[in-house]
Amino acid sequence: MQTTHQITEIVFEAIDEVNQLLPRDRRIPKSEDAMLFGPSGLLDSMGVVNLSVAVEEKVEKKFGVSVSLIGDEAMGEEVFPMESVQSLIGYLAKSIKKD
Amino acid sequence: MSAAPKILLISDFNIANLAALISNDESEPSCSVTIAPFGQVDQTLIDHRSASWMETPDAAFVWTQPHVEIPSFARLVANQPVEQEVLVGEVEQFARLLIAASGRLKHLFVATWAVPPWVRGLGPLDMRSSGGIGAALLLMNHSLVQVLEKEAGIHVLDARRWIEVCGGGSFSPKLWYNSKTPFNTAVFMQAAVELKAFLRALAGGARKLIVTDLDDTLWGGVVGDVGWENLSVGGHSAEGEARVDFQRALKALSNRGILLAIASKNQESVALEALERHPEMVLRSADFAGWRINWQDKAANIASLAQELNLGLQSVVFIDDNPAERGRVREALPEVFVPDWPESPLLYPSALGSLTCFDPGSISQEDRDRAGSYQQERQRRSSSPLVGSMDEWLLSLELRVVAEELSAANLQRVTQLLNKTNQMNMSTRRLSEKELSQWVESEVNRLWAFRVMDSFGDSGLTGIVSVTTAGGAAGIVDLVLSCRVMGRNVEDAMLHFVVSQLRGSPNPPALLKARYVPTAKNAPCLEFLSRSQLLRSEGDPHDFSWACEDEYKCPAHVSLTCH
Repeated sequence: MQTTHQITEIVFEAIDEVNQLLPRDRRIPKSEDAMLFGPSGLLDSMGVVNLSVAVEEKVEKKFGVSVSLIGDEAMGEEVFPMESVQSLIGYLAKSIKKD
Repeated sequence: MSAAPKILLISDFNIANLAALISNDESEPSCSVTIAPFGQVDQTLIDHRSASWMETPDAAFVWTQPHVEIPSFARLVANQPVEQEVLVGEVEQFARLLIAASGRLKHLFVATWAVPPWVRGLGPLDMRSSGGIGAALLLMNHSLVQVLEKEAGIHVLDARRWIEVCGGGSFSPKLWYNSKTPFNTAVFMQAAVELKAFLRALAGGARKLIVTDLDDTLWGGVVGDVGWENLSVGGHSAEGEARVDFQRALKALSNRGILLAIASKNQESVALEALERHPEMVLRSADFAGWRINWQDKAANIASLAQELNLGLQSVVFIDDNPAERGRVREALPEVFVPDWPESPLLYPSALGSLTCFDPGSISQEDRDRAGSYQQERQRRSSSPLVGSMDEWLLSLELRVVAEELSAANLQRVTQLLNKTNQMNMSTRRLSEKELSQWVESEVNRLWAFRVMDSFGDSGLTGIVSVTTAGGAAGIVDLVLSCRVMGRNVEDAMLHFVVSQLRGSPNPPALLKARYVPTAKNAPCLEFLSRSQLLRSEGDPHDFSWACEDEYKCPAHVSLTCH
């Protein structure tokens, strides 16, 4: 539970960073319901790269775990981790636990 | 430059994040940004018909990677032998492309080259001129600057500072391999901040006056309580040394034209005694263009100081250790920039140095002399009560105005004055040196610059009038006067000179027209036009005219000559 809370904080911090790169009316809300990538997602491919790298760097710093959110393994998941904030947090929790 | 400058980004890497940061930045000026095709730097610079130039950008920013733009550098990185002459030759070739492209722009910004810290070349031997990557990079950047600094309108920006500010994570291999973006967002943020500050400076928006508090800001301690002998300035304490460095940093800004003033709640005689008598005080009272040392509201004091110095509040920065005073000034005077200030005095010098609001668009001798000029102004004012009337005081100044045509010698200063002056500026036209030179080349256009001197000193080149003639009438295009010399009827002397020139020309125009173009800042110009000898149009209060058959009187206290 504690880990999930920490992961959520990390994701929201990364969203704050990436939001600086987005116009005011297209910024990502800090909510688990927020859709990131796909037909109803708020990010284009560059936005996905920016957010994934920001999250990966923070996770590595906080947990000492190296994750790849847009690598082959992540792409092979049933739900793409970068599809929504919820799927991102879920994938990170699973990866950190596994490590 | 237009109100919302159009910026073209040209790069051999993915520069979309910088474009986004500049576009989303809400500080003035708001910019519209386009990106040239990725990786086509030389093609974009050469091909003026390419789509990138269709938007007619005001400015372009070129940021390249050294191993991509300079093939010899790539060979050097691969430990292949490269002659220095070849390396420099390729840099000069690149510079020639930049110079050619700059003809399509008001401003061209070029970033210096940098490599990631893990590109270590020869390790400890990397600064050797033979084979060292570090040494080669220094040489390349130096060569680039040497060629480009001679070009008006091209500005080389130090990308390595942005990278240093952001530390070890500046270069991001993850962003590079996923998106061909070499830098983390923090580096682009630094670049965007500096670029915007530069654009503001070029548009005359750089701050010109620092108003500082005294107790626990300029020095440690409350002088009224502890006496000047016991203030913390210098000595052998960390805090005392930091205060000296803070004062040195203020003095350095003053040396390049930023004015210093004081707003302090103190007894004036006690505070001034501290400035004069403390042996380690770097700043003395003569370094300040003005002060308000009293027990009044600081916001009111700052407004009064700005008025005394003929500066708008948008030119002012207020520094105070007390958050309550900062909050009060922010609330009362929203145009004044009040930076957050660190609690520890050890951080004061770096906090001051980090401010981009004083970044200059250019530096002239007049800038360097500005602080002295305001000190002369203070002496002038203090002399005024000694004489009876305003006319007598003006006469006592022995004011001399020298007119001169635009020339290579004064082009930089004239352009700077045109672009920096906000208050006494009739049309607020902004032009680059190149554009101004081209404008004057036309037979129907004329421009005169004016130098102002008096018994207290030389204020330098501080006035401009330009005129265009068409169909038997002449129109004033620019009427500009530095706030440093306002209030002495120099404006009337300038109009007298221009009318005399038109009357003496082979085909004198019947009428000289002037149209005031209002901005948020140039109300003083309308005030002048309204009280001038010009005739105000009944139909439009912003239109003025003068029948050239009549002489426009020169103020009696001004001695006017033509250089």
